[in-house]
Amino acid sequence: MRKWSWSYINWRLTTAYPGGWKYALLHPIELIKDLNNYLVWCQKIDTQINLEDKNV
Amino acid sequence: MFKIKIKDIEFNNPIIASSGTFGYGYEVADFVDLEKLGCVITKSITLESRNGNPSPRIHESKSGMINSIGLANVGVDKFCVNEIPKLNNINTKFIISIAGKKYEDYIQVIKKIEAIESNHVGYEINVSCPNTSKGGMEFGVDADMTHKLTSDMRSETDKLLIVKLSPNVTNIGEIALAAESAGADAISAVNTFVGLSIDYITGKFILNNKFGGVSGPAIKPMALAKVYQIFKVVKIPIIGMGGISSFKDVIEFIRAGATMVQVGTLNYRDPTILSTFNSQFPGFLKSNNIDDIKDLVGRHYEN
Repeated sequence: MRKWSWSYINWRLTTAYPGGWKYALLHPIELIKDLNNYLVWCQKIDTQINLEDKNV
Repeated sequence: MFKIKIKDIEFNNPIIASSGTFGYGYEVADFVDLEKLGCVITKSITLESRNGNPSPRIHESKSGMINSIGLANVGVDKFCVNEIPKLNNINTKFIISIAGKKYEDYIQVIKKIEAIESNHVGYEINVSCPNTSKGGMEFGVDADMTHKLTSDMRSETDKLLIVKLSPNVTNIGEIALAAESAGADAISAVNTFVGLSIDYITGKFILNNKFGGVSGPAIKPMALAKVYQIFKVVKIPIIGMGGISSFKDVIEFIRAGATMVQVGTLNYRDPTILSTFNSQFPGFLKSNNIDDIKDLVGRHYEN
């Protein structure tokens, strides 16, 4: 994520919210909750993919 | 050897960034080596600009996600003026995805794009998005409508024409045959499966739009079955997709009958994953004594 460009982050916000970054700024709690959900999801997906690779 | 040719277009490798998961394509150019991708498909472009559905419209689920983004995009006019010049400079081939609220929208969008200078190599017709209440679904679930739309789009362009099918049908082979007979150069299969999520405490639907499209590793076995079913009935190339999350999945789709594959949801986790998959081709081919990745297409055997 550290390598993500501003234009990519802007696109991700536009994908997640109608109004993109403006919506995110106006709804900071929703943004934080969503970001947390996303990070948890990333960890779960990583674990699952690694497990699957080991099982094949 | 892992170059792939569909129609008269040669792709560097069989890996494609799926529509809606890679921005318009240029947003990732700073940190993804686009040259290592076979191709990028833009997010779907509609006639009018769209903000998409109200939030929440993405929900992370077990082994995947449910989205009802609703085709958020800048609309074809702004796309032609602002986005295509940037796409013309990216270091890989790109395909433009087209969606519409109604039949005429598709035709107008392709006409507008055909009228300008652009380096795109083709179009992917999104007849299968389950997120718009009036849009794609009607075309994608009906063989006659799919045939008519594909045929009319075909008459507007000589470029590569790919029809992206919905899995939410009884007989996907019938829809694929309709697209093939109408002049499609390839079939993309499959789009997201219709899904639903409810908060178990409050009883409220999680997504504002209620229903969404399920994607990610959860749908891979079902998507693979659809690709296999299509492979059995059409002669044109299939671009397989649905839950690909490893290089092994890529090969599995190719063995089921896909000539190329698209990776979607995993891009939300890591946009650099596609070039990682690509880097695994040479070692895989060498260790399995395969000269050309094309030799693996549809190579599956009875148990």
